[in-house]
Amino acid sequence: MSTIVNPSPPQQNPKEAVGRSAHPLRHLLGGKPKLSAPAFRLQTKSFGRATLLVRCYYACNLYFALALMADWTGLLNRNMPAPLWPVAWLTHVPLRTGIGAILWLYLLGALAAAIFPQKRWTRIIAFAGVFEWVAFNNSYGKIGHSMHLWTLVSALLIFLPDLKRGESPSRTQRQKFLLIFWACQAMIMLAYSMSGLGKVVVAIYQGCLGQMHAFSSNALAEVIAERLLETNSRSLLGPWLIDHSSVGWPLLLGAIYLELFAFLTVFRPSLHRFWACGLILFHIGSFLLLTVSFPQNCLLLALFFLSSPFHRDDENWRHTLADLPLLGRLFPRQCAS
Amino acid sequence: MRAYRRIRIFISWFLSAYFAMGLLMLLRPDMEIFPVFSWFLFARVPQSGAQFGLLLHQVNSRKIEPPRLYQEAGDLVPTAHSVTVYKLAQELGAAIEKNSPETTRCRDLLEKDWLPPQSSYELVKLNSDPVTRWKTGKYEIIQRLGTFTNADKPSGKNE
Repeated sequence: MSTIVNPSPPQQNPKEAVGRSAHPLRHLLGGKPKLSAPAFRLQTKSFGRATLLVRCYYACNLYFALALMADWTGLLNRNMPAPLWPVAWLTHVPLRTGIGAILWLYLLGALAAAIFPQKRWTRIIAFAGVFEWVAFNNSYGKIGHSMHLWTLVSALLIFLPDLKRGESPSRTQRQKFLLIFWACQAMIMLAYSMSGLGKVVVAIYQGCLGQMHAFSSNALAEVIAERLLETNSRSLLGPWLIDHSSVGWPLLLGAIYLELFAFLTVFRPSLHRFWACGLILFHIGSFLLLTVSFPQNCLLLALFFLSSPFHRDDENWRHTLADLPLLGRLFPRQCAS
Repeated sequence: MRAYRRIRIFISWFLSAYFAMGLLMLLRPDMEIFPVFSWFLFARVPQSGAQFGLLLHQVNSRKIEPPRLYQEAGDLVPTAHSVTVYKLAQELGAAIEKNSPETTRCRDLLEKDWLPPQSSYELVKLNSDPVTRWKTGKYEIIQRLGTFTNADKPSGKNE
């Protein structure tokens, strides 16, 4: 049966492992496959953790919906937006009624999914609520991106298998559940990798034009200065870093590394916690320098990676270092356990 | 087993499609169709060059002398630090330069939602280097694209 999800590679003989590690791409990116503990025991344990994390996800979703209630009065009095396509129907109904419908859908969907996360119909309503709310909130001239991943994860969670109360799920059901959970992880990291790819591609383009680019030593200072001027705001560390621009160089290079290889880490459970810590620190840094905050993304990283159900308890820091993309070759694994 | 394989194919398809469509979004001026986005955030390192600004001449029927940039008028407008207004100013400037119908949409959004009633503003093109402007506060107005007023439009609440 080949139903074990990627995060826990199936057992393989050492010869095969050596053969795979010799693959040129694997050699370039670093890291080696290692033997896993008995797969089914791992699957049961991972499944238990994943179901709990999905419950936590919907509890957080409910918190967001409840926290918004304080703003309901102001939201109901907003002007007609320039609606994004998911809320284009607002132009055909009385505005106040339409906004009210979105807010109630968001709240009730979040409540239903927090109570019955195992039921698909509640997850569908929860997704519809988040989707409509985020589309409406971004219909006033600029699209913010802090809730995009939350919305996409909500869409993927619809495909979790329905679990019946009191019945122990079959091995296939558990595997399907873990696969969808893994898809959510992949979606989160894909967005970060696209962001990193963007920085590299645009840097090459700007370099070819002879302009300052993301790998230049003063790049971060320029980015911070423009961002702070756009809004005439003050960040805690931004002004200091503009005056000491060389400090920003390793920080920006580190951020590009973290973002670019984020997707690869989905396939290496030993890196889940490490990468989540790195990306959360990256978000903290972004706020301190640029006043750009992504708290919802940090929450997703904490739920799906800091608490990753695929992270093995017997993992040690040597394995983690050896699995680092590109740099892993500098830290040879001591022994395969 | 068959259902499991179908899910695997669906996930591969979903992630690949999101990646490909995200990159295709770069061809659009707004770079996204919600929720598909390229995620090219802060990818371009800003250079010395032109950008647009809103110079406020009048707010709530009160004349501002000398006129001030929107983001520097925190005592006059409640959303002076809004990045949305900055983006709208860039969109409006680009639309006016291209003589595009987007001009009306951008003006409507700005004037109804982000400016106090009885306001008058001028759209200007500025030239500066970000770090130099940050350190000296100096910028140069290189072009004036027009003066507008929202006297007839109701204002709403935002942010």
